[in-house]
Amino acid sequence: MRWLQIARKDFDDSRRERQLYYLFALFALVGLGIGYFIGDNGAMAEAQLLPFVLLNVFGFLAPIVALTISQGDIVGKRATGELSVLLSLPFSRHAIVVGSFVGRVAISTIVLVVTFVLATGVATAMGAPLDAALIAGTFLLVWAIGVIFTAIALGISALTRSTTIAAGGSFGVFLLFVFQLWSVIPTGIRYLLNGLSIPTGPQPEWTAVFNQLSPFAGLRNLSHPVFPELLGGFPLAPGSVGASPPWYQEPVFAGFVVLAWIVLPLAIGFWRFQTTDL
Amino acid sequence: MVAIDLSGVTKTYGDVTALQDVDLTVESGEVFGFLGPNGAGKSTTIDILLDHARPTAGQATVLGMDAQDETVTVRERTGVLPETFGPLGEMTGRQHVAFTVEAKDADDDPDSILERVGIAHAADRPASGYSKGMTQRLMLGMALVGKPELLILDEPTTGLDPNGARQMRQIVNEEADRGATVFFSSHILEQVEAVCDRVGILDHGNLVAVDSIDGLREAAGTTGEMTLTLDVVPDDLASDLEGLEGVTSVRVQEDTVTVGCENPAKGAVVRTCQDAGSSVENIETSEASLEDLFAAYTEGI
Repeated sequence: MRWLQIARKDFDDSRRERQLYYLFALFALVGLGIGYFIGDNGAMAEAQLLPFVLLNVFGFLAPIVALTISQGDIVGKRATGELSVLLSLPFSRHAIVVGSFVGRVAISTIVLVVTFVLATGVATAMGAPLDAALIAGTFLLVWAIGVIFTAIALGISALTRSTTIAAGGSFGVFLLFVFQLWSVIPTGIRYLLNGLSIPTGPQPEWTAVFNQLSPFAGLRNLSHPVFPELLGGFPLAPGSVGASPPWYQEPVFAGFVVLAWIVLPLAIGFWRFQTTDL
Repeated sequence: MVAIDLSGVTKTYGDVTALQDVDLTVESGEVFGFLGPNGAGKSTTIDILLDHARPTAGQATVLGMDAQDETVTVRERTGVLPETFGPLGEMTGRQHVAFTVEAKDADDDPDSILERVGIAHAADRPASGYSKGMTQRLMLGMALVGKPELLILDEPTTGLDPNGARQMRQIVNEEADRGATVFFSSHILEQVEAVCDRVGILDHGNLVAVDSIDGLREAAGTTGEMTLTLDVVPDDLASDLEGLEGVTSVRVQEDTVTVGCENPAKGAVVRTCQDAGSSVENIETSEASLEDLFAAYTEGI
């Protein structure tokens, strides 16, 4: 259970370095603002409005924050010599990666819980209608987005020895998924395959499959059957889910996509971390 | 029992060879000094013992366990002062030691550890604000947690003031008296001479010698110097002395003759001077310094 000691240390580090408080300040402020805005328009607001705004604002903020606070976690400790101290104590490299992941997830969990409680509390106190199940579902979605991007950022952090590459790489991830360069890739490939000219004809199926492999698409496709009203328009995920979704939008397939975005970055990062010299 | 065993350990980084087929055994309870110029491969060896680096070829065992496959168990029973170290986040000195106590499942009192390494006054300050020397003392303190069977200290005296270096030697001696094996690297020779039972000399990745310091002196033949003050120095005395067995060098300066020679040759040197008609007014002898020894092994003199 030594990973638990690393996880606790990771969490405490965040507190001692005041990072946790800055995050609290940022998220709580935005959460209060959203709550106030919804509550102020309470009379006309539907119960779906608050979760919808929360999802789209924090669905955008959570990846940025997760990438920012996690990309330097392991590679930064390598640069300062902290890692060589930890690995002189009886911690396995495995415990370092798992512990850091759990610690970072704990930080985003506590920050998000407080934010959601504040936003919902203010909105309902000011008379906005409340759909508790929908709020809980929204929380889970935003939380899962945080978990995915924490896994990706930590994977990058374990993968490289250079803090510059880690920072650049996580910015690349931001561009790829939040900025959605991901859905431009199939067009680029078709352009190349077509001899550097604009492809014509209908989109082949693989481009649609590729688009639905993005983490946001995976989460949307997975949760759409449960919260269709919430995820009908989810701008972070490409495309939309129709009445009878194709196989690559089935919840089971989407579940594997989501799981892969958590497990694969950590596994690849760990594999590299495990096999390199300090 | 064997505390550390390296057999045929080679480590290359690209086309740079950091360690070349190193065989080394350190017995349990020994204080072993690992000497060599900067870049000789000392830290690479220690990195391999701690699984911070993987050997290209060969095998390392620590406390009878494979250094790579059983590294966590090795580190449970070993106290380490690593080559590069940075404070753990914003922890205070006391929190550092408490964290180590927890990790090693030990029951040491953090304050008495800090007392022992001389930084008790800074226990409540974040270690990120410590000086290099204080951080090094803190790391040494963490290495002492849990009374480890083996201490691996990489350049433990670098960065310490003379007083700190003396305390370091004292702690090494105390730990050795407790029965711990101590393996430390250094390029500062007096430190090694003062505490080590045996030393190994590493040069360009090759282990060129392993012996007690006396044994090394003998083997290298760099035994010492004798300086004789004479009333007159006859012209052919120098060449007579050079002809003696066991004499390696002769230097004449006004009325003093400095002879580099092995101990058994010293009598003959004095007799030769007297036979040449000089009366010997003073004799000073000195043993070869470890510096000479070191130079003899690493520069091929």
